[in-house]
Amino acid sequence: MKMANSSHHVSCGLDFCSVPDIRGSLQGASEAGYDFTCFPIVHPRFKREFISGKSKERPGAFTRSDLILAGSDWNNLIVGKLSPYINVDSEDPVVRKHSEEALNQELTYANHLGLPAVMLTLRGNNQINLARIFHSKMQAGSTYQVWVHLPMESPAVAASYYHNSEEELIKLQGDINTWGWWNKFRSVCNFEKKLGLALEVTPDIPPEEEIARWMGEPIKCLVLSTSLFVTNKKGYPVLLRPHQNLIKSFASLDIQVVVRGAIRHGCSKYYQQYLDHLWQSASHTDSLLTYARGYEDYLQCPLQPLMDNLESQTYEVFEKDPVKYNEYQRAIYSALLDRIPFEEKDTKVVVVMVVGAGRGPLVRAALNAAHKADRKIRVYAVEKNPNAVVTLQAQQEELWGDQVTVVSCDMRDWNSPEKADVLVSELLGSFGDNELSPECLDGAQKFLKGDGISIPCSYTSYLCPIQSSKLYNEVRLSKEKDKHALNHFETPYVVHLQNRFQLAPTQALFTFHHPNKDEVLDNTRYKCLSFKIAQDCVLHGFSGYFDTVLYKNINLSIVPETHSRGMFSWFPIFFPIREPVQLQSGNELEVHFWRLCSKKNVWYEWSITKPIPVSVHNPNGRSYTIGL
Amino acid sequence: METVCVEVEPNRNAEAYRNYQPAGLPVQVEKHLDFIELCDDGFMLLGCSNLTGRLWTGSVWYFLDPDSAPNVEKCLTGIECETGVSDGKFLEDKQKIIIGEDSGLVQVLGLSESADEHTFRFESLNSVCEHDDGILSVSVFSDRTRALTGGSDMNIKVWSVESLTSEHTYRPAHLHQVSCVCAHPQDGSSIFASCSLDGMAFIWDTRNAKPAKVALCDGSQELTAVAWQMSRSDMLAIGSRSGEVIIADIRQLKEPLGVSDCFTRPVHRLRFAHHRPELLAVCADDSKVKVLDCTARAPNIIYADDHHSDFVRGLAWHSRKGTLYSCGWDKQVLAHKLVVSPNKMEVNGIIEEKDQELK
Repeated sequence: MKMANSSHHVSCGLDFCSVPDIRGSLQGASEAGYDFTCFPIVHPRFKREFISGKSKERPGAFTRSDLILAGSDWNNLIVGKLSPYINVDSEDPVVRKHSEEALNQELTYANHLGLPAVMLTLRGNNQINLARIFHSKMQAGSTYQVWVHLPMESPAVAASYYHNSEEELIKLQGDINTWGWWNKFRSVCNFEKKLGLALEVTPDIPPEEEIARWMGEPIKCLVLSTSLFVTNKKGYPVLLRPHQNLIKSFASLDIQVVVRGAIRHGCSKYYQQYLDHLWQSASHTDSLLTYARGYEDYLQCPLQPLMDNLESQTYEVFEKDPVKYNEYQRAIYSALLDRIPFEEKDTKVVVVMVVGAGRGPLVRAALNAAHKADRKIRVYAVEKNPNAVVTLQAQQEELWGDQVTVVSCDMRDWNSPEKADVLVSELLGSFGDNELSPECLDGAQKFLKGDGISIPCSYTSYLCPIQSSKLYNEVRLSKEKDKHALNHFETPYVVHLQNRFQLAPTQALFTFHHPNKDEVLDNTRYKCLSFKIAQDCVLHGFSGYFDTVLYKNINLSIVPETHSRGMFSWFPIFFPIREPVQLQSGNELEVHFWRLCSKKNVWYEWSITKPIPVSVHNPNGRSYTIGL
Repeated sequence: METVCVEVEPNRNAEAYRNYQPAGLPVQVEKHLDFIELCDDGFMLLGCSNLTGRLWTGSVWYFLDPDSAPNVEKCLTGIECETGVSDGKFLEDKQKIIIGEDSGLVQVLGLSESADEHTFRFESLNSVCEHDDGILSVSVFSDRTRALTGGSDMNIKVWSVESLTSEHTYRPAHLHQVSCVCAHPQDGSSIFASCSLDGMAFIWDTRNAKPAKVALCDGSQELTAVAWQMSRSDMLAIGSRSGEVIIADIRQLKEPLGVSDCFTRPVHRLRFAHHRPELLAVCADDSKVKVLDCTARAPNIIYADDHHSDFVRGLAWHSRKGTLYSCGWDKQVLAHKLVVSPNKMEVNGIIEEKDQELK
């Protein structure tokens, strides 16, 4: 498990266009508060001849010696910049050959030095040979990360302001959608995990939906030109409000910042200090985010509390939720008031059964509710985990007394001595029904009175298509040796989603009601959803959420649009797909979801039919099932 | 150097190199000669850089006799620069120069005579760093009051020389590094040309709100150098990364006047002669110096010299003697005395009768 990083300082790098004295530059950057630097690997004007002619035999080294710095400095502090004139996609074979040789020489040297990352600038959408070369390097086990430097907005837009015929210039430039350049490049590179973005913030900020799309990309750092800064009254560099907000919104992702350009405000340290200040002020006070720090985009297998017994630690974490049990208490309180009119409050006793009582938080909530409502109740606490029963019995003996009966039994097998007025359970998973609440409650409803109440009384799962090459890589890398080759792509994961882009608004999928009054109880489901895609993007999978009606107007939700404030018991679920699907603006994305059951198991299958068909994932539950 | 080696234990070799301070060395001309300029009186400016090794510094040198360059002992004076110097030009007279550095710094240097007479030194009159990346090209307008610079940051800046304040900043002027800028030879202070690795060459007029227009755009050709013809100011030479030299008439830009496959490596610098405006000197990422005769529709190579042993970087015409000077990364400055006669071509000092038109 990842540890939460407690401090929220910015990790800031300083870009140098020229490095006359590498030790001096490194020391200067460190003294100004920077954590790392970006240096050219070879002098940006020092071109080499690789094919023929006298210069091929040029005497002397092509760049600096590694001895000039300690190994740890090269390994930790320096991002190597590739020579700007390298163009391996030139139509001219001589230019291409020279560029390939130069690129190879520089990358080999970067590997030799042990640089943590190399940085290159993407200048158009036709850099396929470049992508191939980098992909082959990464496949061959290069040690460095590859940072693709790219502006949010094509320079053609700003450059065209100087031209009589703006449109003509933009036409000459071709595709000006820089996300498209990146998408083509990284798709050809097969979404390599070592490939990250160094996204340059431009003076003009793109529309909100484009920013949201960038947020779903593996951004390693934001590049800020010193020309974006204005001078405040005291003479220090600051950003304008729109840029401040932009950067704060990116601060929630685990990214770094690189400052580049001429030092326009006296000293480079002022930029670092200002950015650190911005970072700190973007620190979150939201309890959900504080709780979840360190879990960002970390894949977890969904719990199977029915099949496995939860551990003490797990109970402990979930019991801390400040919102969930309050809402349960409110729901029970209202149900009790509805169940017993004021006149009968001293005579009538309501039977409340807590099924899946765990270590007792809902028993406590029921007792509190009864006390507040001034109504009499009798509680049965049914729990199948014998270890948790120990806790229940201890509390019953010492605190609760005769009012509570502890039953150590699976709710589906228990023969109750009497019928319940109110059945309370907390069996919901991140996707609502995925911890088999429907099957359990169907089994338990036999001891609910005909007019009895189930809390919760209904729940609905939700689905949203998302783009996240980070999650795609996390899934791809969780391949296990002795499992089916596609196992890891056919398993849902519980994950605190951060580095992702939602491709369309969330839509409701499956709903379950309790008690289930249907003649034949059937918990299988099938539904087809259609999502309208608003801009070009890549589909990596689907995030799943749920909401539930506990009682009347008392709800819990983890759906992003309606999320219960401060509740942290559930992270979303993520259903991956095997291969990313390229989507275009205007596309209709059609997805099919099934909830299927056998005598022993429940599982989901999913498939896509538009814009392209994608075969069914997890057929027969071959990769993932939930045990009954 | 040897004494250092003797004192060092072999297992402390790395530390010895790391901590070695090449202090106290007399100022010297750096390995890589990047540009030369000649003023009307024939005085020479030489700019050089260290592009490899421990320190990537530069320097600028002043020679009264161009034939004595790059011999430090024969220079009038020189000055060290913090970073490499890629380009520089004379300003209003032979006393003042403007240079562009790898750090993005623009500097105006003046030549001052010391009190004890006959010794001169450079002093920095003004310097400002507003480019966000290295400067690649410097040009001065014909009225000598304004200069312009272009660099790797894709920007072009127009400077008032006196105060060294930028009057115009075109950010970004191009979509890739600005490889060359060149002021119009007659128009005083507003028209210039630029080209870039983005494949485009533009003509600019700083008086216009929309100053730029496209002079050449061939998506497949990265452009590396541009020069105006000195007398026919509607004629522009543009060099490409493939080694071509393209002659264009700015009054009709649709079709170039002529193209010469001058080199097979990226053209680095183009210089039209003052005394014979049809002559165009060309150098590239190559050891050769070539001169084109641009009288005919298709430019003719009339001179080729291969005495440099590394890339030729700087070219300058001696306006009175008609001699072409070149410098390069082999640390040589060479003089080329051209004998120009029709239907003849000179190669490495040998004049050949030309049977057929060279392409």
